[in-house]
Amino acid sequence: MADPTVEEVDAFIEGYKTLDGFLPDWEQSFGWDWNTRWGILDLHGRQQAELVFTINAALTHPSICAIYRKKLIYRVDIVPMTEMKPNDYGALALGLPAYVTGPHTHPWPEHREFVRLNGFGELPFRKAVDIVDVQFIRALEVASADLNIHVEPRQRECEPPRQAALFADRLGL
Amino acid sequence: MNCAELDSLLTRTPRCVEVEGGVRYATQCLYPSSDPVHIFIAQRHSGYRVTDGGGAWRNAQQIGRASEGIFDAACKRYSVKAGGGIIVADAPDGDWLYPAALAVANASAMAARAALEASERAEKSLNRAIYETLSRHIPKHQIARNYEFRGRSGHMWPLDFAVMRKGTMLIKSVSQNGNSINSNYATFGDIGDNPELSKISIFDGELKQDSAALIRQVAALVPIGALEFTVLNGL
Repeated sequence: MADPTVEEVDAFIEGYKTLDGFLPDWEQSFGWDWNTRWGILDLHGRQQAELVFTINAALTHPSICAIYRKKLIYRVDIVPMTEMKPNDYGALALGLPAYVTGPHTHPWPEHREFVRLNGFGELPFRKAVDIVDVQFIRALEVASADLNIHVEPRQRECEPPRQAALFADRLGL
Repeated sequence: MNCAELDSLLTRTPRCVEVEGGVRYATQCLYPSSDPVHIFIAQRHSGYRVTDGGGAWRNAQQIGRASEGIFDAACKRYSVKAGGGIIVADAPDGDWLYPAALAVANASAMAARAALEASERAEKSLNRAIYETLSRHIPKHQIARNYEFRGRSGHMWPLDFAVMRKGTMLIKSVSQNGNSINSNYATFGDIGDNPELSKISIFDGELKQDSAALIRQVAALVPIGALEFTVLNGL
């Protein structure tokens, strides 16, 4: 199947979307990160995209990626306010800052032209977002607002399983 | 082990050297040759100009693939400009110096890699053309690909093709690339002269005069367009 065009991604983001049921069970890969994938349904109930929830074993860096037809189109990362990352040089022309501290997104509108030129795969530009705690629901709130996904109140339970916290405590992480 | 100790271990060689008009800075990016990418930083009336000093272009020249096209993908990916063989990014202030430096260093390494990949593609395509020409006139079972032949030193030398008929025709593709020239010279030089053997280096495009002269000391140098005639003559 051919890669989606940027116009198809625009249309996907613009369209009405919901999440499919409840957050699927978390899995831990190689004893480190926890992750789960939550299907996104369009107006006709078709699933062409998903949100990938990932968090490190220490439960300090929640992240949600949006994948549309197997291509990365968006990411939101909650990182500590002590963590400063340089932006890609191309961010200068987009009016983004040279450095981003703390939680940030890799938003679609700022990557549209980059993807058109380079194809899918990377989202190098960071944009700071105002997230005050380390909970997935905050990342989901930001992602659902940016991607126009309708989240039901009963779908707001999206934190990692309790055993993940026990695991992090045991490791002293 | 602590961070200060690690920092000193990982930055043993001086990274910043003052040069005329600015500084040269060694980055942790590498060219395909494993040499570090050096960037050049000059202060301007507002901000800084970062360049690769033509490093990618020089790398591409060494393998005979210098053309403006090697910069295309790197400029798109890293939002830098290229002109006159030099990659450039302007930082409007100190904040943007690090992103600009990262962009130039990575773009320079990427452009050099693009040149190398183009060279490898050309070599593969030349080998395909050689095989097609050979197989038009010679039964396939008499053409060996990736053949090895023992030189006078005892070393087994890899050859792209060998044709076994009355005698043996050893064929190796060559391009304007230091490694390719050296490999052809060493292989055919060590195999030496033997009335039962014919040794042919095939090239496409252009070879520098000194490279061609070197190869001719040890083998017949034949452009791909003339291979058919050479094969027919040699049969």
